[in-house]
Amino acid sequence: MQSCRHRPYHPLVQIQLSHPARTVEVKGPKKVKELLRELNLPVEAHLVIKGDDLVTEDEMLYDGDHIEIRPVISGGSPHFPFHLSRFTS
Amino acid sequence: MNCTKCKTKAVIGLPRHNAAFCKGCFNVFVHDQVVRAIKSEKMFGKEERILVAVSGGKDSLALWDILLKLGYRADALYVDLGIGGYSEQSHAKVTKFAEAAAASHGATLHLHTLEQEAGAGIKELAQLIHRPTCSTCGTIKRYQFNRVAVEQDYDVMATGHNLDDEAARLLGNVLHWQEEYLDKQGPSLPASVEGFAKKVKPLFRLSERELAAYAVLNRIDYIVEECPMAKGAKMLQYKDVLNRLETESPGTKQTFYWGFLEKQSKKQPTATTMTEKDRAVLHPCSSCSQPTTAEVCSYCKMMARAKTHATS
Repeated sequence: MQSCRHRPYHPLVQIQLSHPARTVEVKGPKKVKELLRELNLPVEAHLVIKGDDLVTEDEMLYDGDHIEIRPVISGGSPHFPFHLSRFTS
Repeated sequence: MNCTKCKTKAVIGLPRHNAAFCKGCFNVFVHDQVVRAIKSEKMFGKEERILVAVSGGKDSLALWDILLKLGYRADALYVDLGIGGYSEQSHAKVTKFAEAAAASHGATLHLHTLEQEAGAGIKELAQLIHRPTCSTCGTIKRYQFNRVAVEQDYDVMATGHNLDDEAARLLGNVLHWQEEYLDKQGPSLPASVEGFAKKVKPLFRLSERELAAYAVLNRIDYIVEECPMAKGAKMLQYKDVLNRLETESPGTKQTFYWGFLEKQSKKQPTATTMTEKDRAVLHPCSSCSQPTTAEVCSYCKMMARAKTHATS
């Protein structure tokens, strides 16, 4: 019998952000467009990258996915909600 | 989301064009936009020599890549401003691109190092002469790109300014009613006087997001971090505002900037007027011979002040 301390690990969607560089996690499944809205990141100012490919806004992200949200305006997103630097929905 | 053209899986949606593209069709779209910009503004022909101003960022490296792939004769100049690790990183990106991609097209990378000339990096230089870093940087870059273009007989100098850059600059000029700057907001500035190179912006039809996507999809290794000196700059705030509007109302940026260009073109024959205006006020600098409105140009004044401070 498995104790609570050794229960299986359920990964979340891992998101790498820039300006400043940090990683946040969210619970999947979640649409890219919805994720950007929750993070208050305008679609027009960001690219979502999975591996070597770009991901469109209508795609679904699942637990275990690793993505990068890269600002296209180098220099940062002045309105990123820092209070959400690590959240799980 | 499927590609509007070939119906395979899309990698990017472009709401302002009501379209989505796969990688192949997106590259065709980007190249087509640059060709349309070059032709509509009569920027340059296939036989002319182009000097691309590269910084290691996505726009300038994408521009160099696109021009070479389209068969243009494009070399590049990188100005090392001596901003510690940031300059080292951006220099490395430019060199890597030049060796890996540009060399196979027979293109050359020129290099100018500020520290070798002024004995200081941009931050120290700006402090020495009591001027903001960004305006000092602008003066140095404009001067060096023009100098190399003229000295090495390039027909035209190309910069990586994109739709977002131009729309943000226009917004700033309009907000402050700086009407005197509007004449020079076009994507093609003539070589109005002896000593001035023609300057063009072939990416003015493409957004910052489209160019970042082009760089990612074509494995162009660019510096994602922006210059540490530019943090908090007004231009970034204008871009942020425009991108929020664009996300809600796709096409806002192009309507704003292209609409401005259309109105300007109907207003007057801009190139002639600008040339006439420049000829009336510009003459060679008594120290370096580059065009200036003063006896000595601002670049030479700046270097003289830097040298005075360094020796005192």
